[in-house]
Amino acid sequence: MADEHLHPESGDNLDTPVGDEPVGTPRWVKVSLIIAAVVALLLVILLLIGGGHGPGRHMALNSGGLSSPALSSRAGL
Amino acid sequence: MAPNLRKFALSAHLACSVGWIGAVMAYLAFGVAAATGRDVQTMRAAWIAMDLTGWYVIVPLALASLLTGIIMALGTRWGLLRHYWVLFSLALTTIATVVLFLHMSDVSQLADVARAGSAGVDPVDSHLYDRLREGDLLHPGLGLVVLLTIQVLNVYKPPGMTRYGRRKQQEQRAKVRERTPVRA
Repeated sequence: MADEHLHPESGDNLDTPVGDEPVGTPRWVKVSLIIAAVVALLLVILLLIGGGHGPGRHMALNSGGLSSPALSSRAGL
Repeated sequence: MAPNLRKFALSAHLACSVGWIGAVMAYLAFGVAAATGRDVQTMRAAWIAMDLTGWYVIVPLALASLLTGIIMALGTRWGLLRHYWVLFSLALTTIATVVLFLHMSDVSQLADVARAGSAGVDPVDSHLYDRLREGDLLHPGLGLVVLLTIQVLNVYKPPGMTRYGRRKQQEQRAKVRERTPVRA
């Protein structure tokens, strides 16, 4: 039985008709962007106070570049 | 994209994406074991397991998931930059993959400390050894949240087209109108 939610030829999902989409930026996009901004701000604050977590922690540990199990075993670690 | 090729690409993308989530769950179990394990052997074994699982399972699945996702987007009517949900999925997958790479180099160094053991470690390694006891819950925990968010986005496909998507849609409609013969 054919799936009525899929385009008969391309198999694309037709649950969301492209032509009937709302004009402008949807509310869920705005809310998601606000949440992302808050998370980014929290990360910056954590980095600034120095007691948290961030990419700097990784960089400080990894001054010798990327290491993998294979590389480590080759180096005799 | 031809239907058979599209189904193959979709199967590959689903396998990689769901596999990525499953592998992170296994990684999380090792992280919990390292943080809560009472004996040192369990803690060391957990970090070595996290190192191996991360590099040989999670990283390849992340890259494959990103690649197959891009192929799926470009090969179907959804496009890569036309719909917000595809754009968000792409951004979150890319961020997750970059953070994974940064984090795994850290994990490898800690796993090396675990392999070396406590005998004869210098002060720097001693500091790292203390970090072994913390386990690793933050990265796999947040990673799971991000991956499940992507999965929900991909299933529900919330509506909303970007400006680029609308422009492309208008261009395609104009082309269709040009091709359609005008009846008197």
